[in-house]
Amino acid sequence: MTATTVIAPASSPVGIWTFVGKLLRNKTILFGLGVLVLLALVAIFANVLWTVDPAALKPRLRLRPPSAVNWLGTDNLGRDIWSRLIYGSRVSLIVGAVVAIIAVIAGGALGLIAGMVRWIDNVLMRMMDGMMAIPAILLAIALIGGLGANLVTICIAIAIPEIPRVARMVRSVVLTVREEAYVEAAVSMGTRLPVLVIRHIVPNILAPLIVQATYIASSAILIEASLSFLGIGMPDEIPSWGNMMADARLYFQVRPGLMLFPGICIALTVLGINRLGEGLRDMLDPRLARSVGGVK
Amino acid sequence: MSGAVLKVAGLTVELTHDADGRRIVRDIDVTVPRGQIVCVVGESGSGKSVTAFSVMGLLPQGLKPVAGSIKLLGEELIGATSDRMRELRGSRIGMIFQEPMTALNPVMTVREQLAELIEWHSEKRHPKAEVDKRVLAALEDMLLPNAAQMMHAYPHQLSGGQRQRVMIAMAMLLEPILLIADEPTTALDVTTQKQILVLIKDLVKRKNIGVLFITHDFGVVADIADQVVVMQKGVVVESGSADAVLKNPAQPYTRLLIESVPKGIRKSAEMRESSPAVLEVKALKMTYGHRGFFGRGRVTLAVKEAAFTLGRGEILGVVGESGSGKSTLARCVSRLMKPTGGQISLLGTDIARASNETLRPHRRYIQVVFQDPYRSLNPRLSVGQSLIEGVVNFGATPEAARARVATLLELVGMDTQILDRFPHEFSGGQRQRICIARALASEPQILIADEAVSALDVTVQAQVLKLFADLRSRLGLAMLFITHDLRVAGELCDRIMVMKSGEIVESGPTADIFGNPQHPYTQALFSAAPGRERFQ
Repeated sequence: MTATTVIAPASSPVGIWTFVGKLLRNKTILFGLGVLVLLALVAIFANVLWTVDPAALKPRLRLRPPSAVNWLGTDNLGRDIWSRLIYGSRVSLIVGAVVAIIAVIAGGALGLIAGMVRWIDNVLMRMMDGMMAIPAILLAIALIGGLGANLVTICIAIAIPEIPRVARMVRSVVLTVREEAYVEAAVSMGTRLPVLVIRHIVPNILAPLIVQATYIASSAILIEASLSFLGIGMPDEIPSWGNMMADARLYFQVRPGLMLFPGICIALTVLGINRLGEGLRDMLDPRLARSVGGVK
Repeated sequence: MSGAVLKVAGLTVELTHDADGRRIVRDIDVTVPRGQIVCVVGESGSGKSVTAFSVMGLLPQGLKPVAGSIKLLGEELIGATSDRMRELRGSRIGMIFQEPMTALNPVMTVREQLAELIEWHSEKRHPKAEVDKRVLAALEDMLLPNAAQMMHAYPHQLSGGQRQRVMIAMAMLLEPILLIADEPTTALDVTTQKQILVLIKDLVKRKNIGVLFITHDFGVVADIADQVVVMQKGVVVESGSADAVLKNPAQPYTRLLIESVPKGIRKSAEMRESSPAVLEVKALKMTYGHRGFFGRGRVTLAVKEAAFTLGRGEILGVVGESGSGKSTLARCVSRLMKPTGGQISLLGTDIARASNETLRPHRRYIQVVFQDPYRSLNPRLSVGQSLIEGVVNFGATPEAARARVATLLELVGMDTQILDRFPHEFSGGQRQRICIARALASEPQILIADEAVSALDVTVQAQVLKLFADLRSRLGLAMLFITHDLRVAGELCDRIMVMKSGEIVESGPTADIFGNPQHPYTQALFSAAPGRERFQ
């Protein structure tokens, strides 16, 4: 043997636990995760945490200030604000999560196909351009008007305009990754297309996709709130932060808390998700983080 | 007369936020006299760039000089204010970098970029005509033909060599006394590199400046250096006049570096008897782009009518500069790309037009090793997963594949315990060995090495070349060895083909090509090879 034996470097453990450790040491991510976990717990245990039946109308107790029974006061129909806030977190979190999942899966699949199959690329991307030309709120109003306002319709209506955005991003990343030498090496080793995509392409596009998903989730929560505020969101009997704010509009001067509390909840949730996304972006792509910081 | 322009003494640079107080470079002494070129040579990670950046005052955040002094004409630069450093850069210190395209602003013409420099570094405004005159003079100084036209060109309209000349013109515009060149010719073709080196040598003579020239290539050092400083792992291991260091290196590391420089031709270049052909390429043609619907659009002929045969156990070198079509040829032959026309007969089967499905069983016989070892391994797969993929694709069980891969790792000189590690844990040379092992895993008959050693340090390059030669004699592997470097090709190959703009202009046994190059282009390549006079 003429070539000298190369001694391998000392092993560094690569595993799920080191990754989790890295996650938790990042303050931005920790904050975002903390907010989300707290909210998720509230949503899951809503039926334990509520104090007064959120749907119970008590006209006698209209617009009451905070008290021992109604912790955050009552609204114009005498419903308990605290309990409605607790239940409202369910809608927001479900909408955020479901929209992000739909958009990432549908947009990811379309982007992957467009990036991998050249002849479909043009057709698919022009269709995406067409979809992007429709204003999101108008599309949502039309869909909800046609199909009726419920959680499923709302999620679909919000998810559809996000799909082309995700598809475009995934396509561009796929186009870069498929030119990488390791993909060509796999091709020359006779790897079949499905295996190629699953083993070599998908894992290498996941990072930007996860980050994108967090931004979609936070914007979905905001859009759901605005739809509810416009009166085309969740029906009034299901409490959501959006329709709570819509109801409170007329009584803002009497009881600012009516609008303030759901507003704070929305802001906090969106902030948490955005921080999580930012932290993940910095961690998964340190190069990007530095350029955003402005200083090398 | 020759006073010292730059005097670096005892320079030590530390990583600031490092608890271990790790030193990046320690106790560096470099003196650049007027009218001389001082070459700082070393492999990657030797600290040669950190040294240059310290002089420029452009150390990246986290690096700080903690001891020593850097004196430019007696003025201390360590601790100088950033305003003073900015004044000095440009006016007293000129700088040129490796990649001229990224160092020039793509949206400004050459004239604008040079004029900007004049305006920044002077108090009063200059009339346009005067600026134009100075810019033109600076460009003409770089021996650029039709400099007047070039003034109004954008960087993308210039060739690599022209861009580097514009960069040098910018660096020299305010008549500095010290020029710092950080690998200025590494990204250029050999013939262009030669011109730039001649230009720098000429400038030193004409302007009587000092040059601090950072390079990894001893060939370049041999061509231009007056003084040589050899660095390894952050310390100077040897320094002295070029003659002394190159002829009688005192340190074993310097000797190793000089010996690792590919010398061109093997001492024992025995003629090989011809062996049965494993690969026969006929009239291979590849074009990029296509005529649009109305006959518009550009068609580029990347490979024109290429024809060659490759015998069992033979190493055929394909040499050419960037854009010569050598990589396209490799990609067509390995069928990562479908050629526009011609035949590729692999062990008797024509694979030129085969569909992906019919091609798959034949792929195992022809494997590729790529240039960039950092991009040829999937970062998300362990080394073992990457290695067994090919073997499993061609029908082995994962257990059998792992056993086979372990023996291959031994063959390429790697520890067999590394299968569960990830690529980021390995150095460039180690990764390239892993890639070679991966290519060998499917028991190919032909290995295509596409610039497989170009990204490696010379000592590692020498090891990998040895490995290739060794594999050929052990496994009877035929190889298509693509390179831009004639010296590397000469070390390894039995036969050499020289390509220029898509055509094979000359081919023949290595000894013939080296002994008696026929085509003018081949001759030009030879005369441009750096370090020719000293090393042969």
